[in-house]
Amino acid sequence: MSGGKGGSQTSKVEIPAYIEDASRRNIERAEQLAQVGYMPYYGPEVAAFTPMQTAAMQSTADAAAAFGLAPQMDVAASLPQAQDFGGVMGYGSGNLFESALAELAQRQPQQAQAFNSLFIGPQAPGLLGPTGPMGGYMPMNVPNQGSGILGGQV
Amino acid sequence: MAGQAMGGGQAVAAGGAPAGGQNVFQQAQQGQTAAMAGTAMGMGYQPAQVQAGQVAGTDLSAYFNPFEQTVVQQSLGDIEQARQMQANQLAAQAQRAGAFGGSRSAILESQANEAALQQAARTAANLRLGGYQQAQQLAGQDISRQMQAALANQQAGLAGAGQRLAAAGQLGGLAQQAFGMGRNLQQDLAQQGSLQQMLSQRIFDAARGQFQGYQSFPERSLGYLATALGAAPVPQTQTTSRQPGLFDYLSLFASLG
Repeated sequence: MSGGKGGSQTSKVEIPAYIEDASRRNIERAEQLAQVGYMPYYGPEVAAFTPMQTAAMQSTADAAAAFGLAPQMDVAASLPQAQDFGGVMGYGSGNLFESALAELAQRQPQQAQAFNSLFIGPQAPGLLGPTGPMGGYMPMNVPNQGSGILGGQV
Repeated sequence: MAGQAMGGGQAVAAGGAPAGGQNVFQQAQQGQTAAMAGTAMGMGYQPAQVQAGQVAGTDLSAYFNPFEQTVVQQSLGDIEQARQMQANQLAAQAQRAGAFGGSRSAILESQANEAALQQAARTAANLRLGGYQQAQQLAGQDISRQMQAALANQQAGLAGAGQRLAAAGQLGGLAQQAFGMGRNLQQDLAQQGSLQQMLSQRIFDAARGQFQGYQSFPERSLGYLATALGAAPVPQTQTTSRQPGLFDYLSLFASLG
């Protein structure tokens, strides 16, 4: 820089504009993605027992009942209701996840709001909005207009 | 992908037993219970007691000839008739000899009467002895037949008890067989059902993998550019500029002077 008795020497490296632009767009894209937040999975996760398996269980219960080891029972009644996922019976944790979020919103509303305000929530339009195909991932009763870092901006 | 709730056990009716009656375990249980009861009865079986009969003390009246008295009386009557005929003959002989009413005639008549009495006594005794012996023999035969019948009944009872015990054992075996058969079918059901469940689980896992791939794709897409920047040589332009200082100017003036 300037000033010294002996003068100074400055060296400058310049990156081409197209690379700099690409890097900037990548960073902006990362910021956008970070706002998307957690994307839950609502599909099936655990396969349900098949009729043959429930028949085997029922048979075991019947055998125990026949020999006086247990009362007569319907084993299917003690199993959670399986859901039909395109012809395959199973269970998914999506509903339980929603319930947990609703419980969190009810018990810790400020914390849930602060957390939710950081990301795109169900109030936002688009794919993750309440009417979008993903249906949002936060309960409808949780406002997404808090005063957090991104409050009111998303 | 919204699921529709459905029941989990469509193949088995509520309450356990499949349509059509008892399941194999109920049959096994009933068979085992019946087998145990039959075995317990067999264990407690007491064979019939056989008591040897005796002629002594046996009422023989039923074995006597009901016409014995008639026969005896008839025989005694025949003897009496013969005695009278002989007495008449002796009287006629004595009359012809002019000795009727004499002592000789009386002796002969007395001898004839004595002989008739003896004959009557022997005849009656023999008839009654024969009747008694026959009654004894018949009673003995009856006692023997009763003994044989009692022994036969005892053997039949033992054989029946043995047969029932064997049947109880067979029933227990069948119950065990039915139980084992049921258990085998149960295991087959469970095993094949598990295979079907594994298939469903594989489908679910594949779907989950697809979703995770979709979910993480934006993050991976960020890496594409970073990778490209890191792999490709980036052309750089380096510009070096120099700013002269005080000595530079002094040196310049000195060289001019």
